[in-house]
Amino acid sequence: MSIDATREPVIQAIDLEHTYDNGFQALRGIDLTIYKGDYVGLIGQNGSGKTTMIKHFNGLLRPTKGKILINGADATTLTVGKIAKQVGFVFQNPDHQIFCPSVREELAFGPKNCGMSPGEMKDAVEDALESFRITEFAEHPPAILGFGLRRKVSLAAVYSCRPTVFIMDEPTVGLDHRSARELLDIIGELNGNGDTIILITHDMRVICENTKRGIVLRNGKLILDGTTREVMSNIEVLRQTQIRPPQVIELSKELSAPDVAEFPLNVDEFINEFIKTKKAM
Amino acid sequence: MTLDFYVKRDSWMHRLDPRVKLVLAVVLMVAAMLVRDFWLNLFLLVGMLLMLASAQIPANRFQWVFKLTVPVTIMIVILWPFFYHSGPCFFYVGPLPITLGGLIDGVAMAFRIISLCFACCSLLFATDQAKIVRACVKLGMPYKYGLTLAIALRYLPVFFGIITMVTEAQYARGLDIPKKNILKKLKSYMPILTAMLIAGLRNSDNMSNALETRAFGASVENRTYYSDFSMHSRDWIAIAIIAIGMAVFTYFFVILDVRLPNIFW
Ligand SMILES: Nc1ncnc2c1ncn2[C@@H]1O[C@H](COP(=O)(O)OP(=O)(O)O)[C@@H](O)[C@H]1O
Ligand SMILES: [Mg+2]
Repeated sequence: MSIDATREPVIQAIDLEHTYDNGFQALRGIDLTIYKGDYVGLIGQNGSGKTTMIKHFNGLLRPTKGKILINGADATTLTVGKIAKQVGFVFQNPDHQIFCPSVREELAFGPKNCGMSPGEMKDAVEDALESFRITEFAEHPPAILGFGLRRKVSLAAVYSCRPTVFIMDEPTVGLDHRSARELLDIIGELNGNGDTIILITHDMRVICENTKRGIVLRNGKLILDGTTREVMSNIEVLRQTQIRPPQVIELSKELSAPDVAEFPLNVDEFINEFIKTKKAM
Repeated sequence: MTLDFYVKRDSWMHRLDPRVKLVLAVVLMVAAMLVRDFWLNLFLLVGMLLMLASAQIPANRFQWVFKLTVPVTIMIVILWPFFYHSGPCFFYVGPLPITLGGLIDGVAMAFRIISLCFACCSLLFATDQAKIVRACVKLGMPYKYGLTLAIALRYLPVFFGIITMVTEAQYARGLDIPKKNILKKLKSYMPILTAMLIAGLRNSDNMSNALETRAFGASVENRTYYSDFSMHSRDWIAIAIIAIGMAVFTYFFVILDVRLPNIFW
């Protein structure tokens, strides 16, 4: 995607490269701008460098070449703790962060670290409990809740720090369809309120039905960046990275080659398009 | 981070029965602990290094062991002369004479520490971890304990991986580990330790279920093993050499109490 001067950039990667200590180069020159309000789906095979890239966005990794700007400031000048107030990072496994005797305390841990006043903290925790619909579990020990709830707690615990960018590594893995849907609805609400979302997932339906922008990584390089519709219509390039778009997209590609603008991303859109085309015939 | 010491090669040592290597390692360790004489210590250490070199253990493993022992050995060489005195005196530190004998004895002590490490490593470098555990079981350790040991060893790298991930997850929530104040530092590790513990318990629960669904504990008496080993003639020869070595050592240095000549003063 070319640089859009009308929108406010929140995270910028400039010629970002990362070589691990063992000499393996996981990122090979990435130029990317994430704008305020973006809802990005980050796609790529295992080992393509997704995790390595997003760890730069919250300072856990430092570029070995190139630069990261977070809200305009060079990330190397900020500590992970400082970045945490701006960029919330939800790890793949919720069990790697849960340690408090109650959900409420779990959610208060981040705000405490960020130096919120007791009043602010209380508001932030209540807001997080409500937004993630876990108020009724506020006094439960999070470690013994079911997996779906632990997942929500881990998201809420990041949300309570009040960052405006959320990075989530496979948030729907291991959830049943209903819990996944509920979680995606909550994430959609965050985005609706103006927050920026970066979502890693291998589920192309999740990408098609939720995200607005798609980014595809392969071997540490950015090979596609555009609206989800543009990215998904690029079936040939996606195939090279072993990604198969949902069947409805492949079907419409087989039937005809509609303009990218009217390329259907889900079944509803396909039906509408199909009826329109049929009426025109 | 990996904690597997094993170097896969096809040397005489690698081919020995793990039980023989276990015995060898124990004998070498006991020898390193008993021997006090400077020359015998040097002989033991050089002998072990030659043995490992002939087993095709690469130089970087030797370096690694030496590096590991450097802090302790330097301390010993510096401190030992303060407490052990014999032979000509160099100078006094307060009332304490610093003697040549003390210095030499300190160096011998350092050799002992290094020898101890290499004795352990002679086993670990040339034997697959799983085989060590099998050897323990064959020597009479209950299979349950053997399996526990094997799982513990197997999960050490995983455990370190989880430490990294938990630490990162807590950092990402703004956890700051203060560099200076030790007490505060310890306190700020609590979130990491607690999360580790919970994740560990969950893992072990899953693991025990996985073991049981695969019939662990169903028939302990007549279970079979995928990789089994038995004593060959080379193993008996090795045992014989170890036994002769021990006998000669005991005869000369314990029963006859031979003292090697002091050439230092
Ligand atoms: N700590 C590390 N040291 C060395 N190589 C690593 C490390 N972490 C990841 N890698 C390598 O970097 C590549 C990209 O990994 P990663 O960013 O985790 O990919 P993804 O998240 O897309 O699956 C992989 O080939 C992986 O083996
Ligand atoms: Mg990953």
